[in-house]
Amino acid sequence: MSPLNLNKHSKINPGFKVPEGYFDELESKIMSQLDAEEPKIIQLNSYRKYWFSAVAAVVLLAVSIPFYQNWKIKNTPIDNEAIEQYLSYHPTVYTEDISSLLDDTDLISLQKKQSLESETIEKYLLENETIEFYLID
Amino acid sequence: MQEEKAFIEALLNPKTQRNAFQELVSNYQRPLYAHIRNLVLNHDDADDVLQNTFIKIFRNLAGFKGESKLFSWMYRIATNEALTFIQQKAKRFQITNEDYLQQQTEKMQADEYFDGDEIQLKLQKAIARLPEKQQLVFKMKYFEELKYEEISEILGTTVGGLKASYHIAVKKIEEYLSYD
Repeated sequence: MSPLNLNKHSKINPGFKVPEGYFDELESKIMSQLDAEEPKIIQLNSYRKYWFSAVAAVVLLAVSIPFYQNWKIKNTPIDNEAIEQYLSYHPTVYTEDISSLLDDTDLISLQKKQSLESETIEKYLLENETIEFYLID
Repeated sequence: MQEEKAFIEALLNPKTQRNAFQELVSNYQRPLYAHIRNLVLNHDDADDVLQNTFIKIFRNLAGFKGESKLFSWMYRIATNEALTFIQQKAKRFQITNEDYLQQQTEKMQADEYFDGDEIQLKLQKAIARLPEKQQLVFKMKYFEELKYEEISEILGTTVGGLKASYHIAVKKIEEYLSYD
C-alpha cells in the first residue's frame, strides 16, 4: 500500500449525518428556550437585590448593637443599691478598700447606725443556736 | 464590515434583538453545528452543546465588545462549550479527554447518524489518537476549511503555532492511514 498524502488525496469528509428536519426545528426550539429563559433572569436579579438588602440590614444591625449597648450604659444612672450589691458579691473588693474611701463624717454616721442596730444584734444572738459558744468564750 | 456593525447594533437593541437573534441562529446553526459535531462526534451531544452555545451567545450579547468578529466570538464560545462537555464526560468516566474521544470513534460504526465509509472511519480513528490541541486544529483546518488567521482569532494561538500543529497532525494521520 502506497503512503497516503492528504493534500493529494480527494477530500475525505467527516461522514456525519443529521436527523431529517433537524435544522427546521432547531431555530424555534432555541427561540422558545430564550422565552423561558428571560423571566428567570429577572427573578435571579430581584433575588440578588433582596440578598444585598438583607445582608446590608444584618450588617447594620450587628454594627449598631455595641453602640446601642454603650449608649444604654452611659444613660442609665447607677443607684446605690446596685453598687452595694456589686461590692458584696465581688470577691476582689475588700473591706479595707471600702474603708479607705470613707472619710470621718461617713464613719460617724456608720457608727450611729451601728449603735441603733445593737438591739437587733442582741436579738439575733439570743435566737442563734451557737449562743453558748459565744457565752463560754 | 458596515453590515456586521449594523447587525450587531440590532442585536444589542432590545427592540430589534429578538428578530436579529433569530436571523443569527438561522445563519449560523449549520456551521456551528458542524464545528461542534466535529469536536464531540455524536449527534445528540452536538445538539445539546449547540443549544447551550446559542443560549450562552444570547446571554452574553451585551458583553460582546466588537473587538473580534462576531463569527470568531461565536466559534470561541462553541469551542469552549464543546471542550468543557468532553472534559466533563471524561471526568465522569475517569479517563483522559483523548481516551473518551477514542471510545466515541469505536462506537461510530453502530451510530445511525454516521454514514462514513472505511476511509472516513479510519480518518476519525486516526484523529482521535492525536493530542487534543492537534485534533482541534486539524478538524478546523481540514474539515471546516477555516483560514489560519480565523483559527488563530478563535483559539487565541499564533498562526505559526497553528501551522506547526497542523503539519504534525497531518504527518501522524497519513502514517496511520497508510500503515495501520
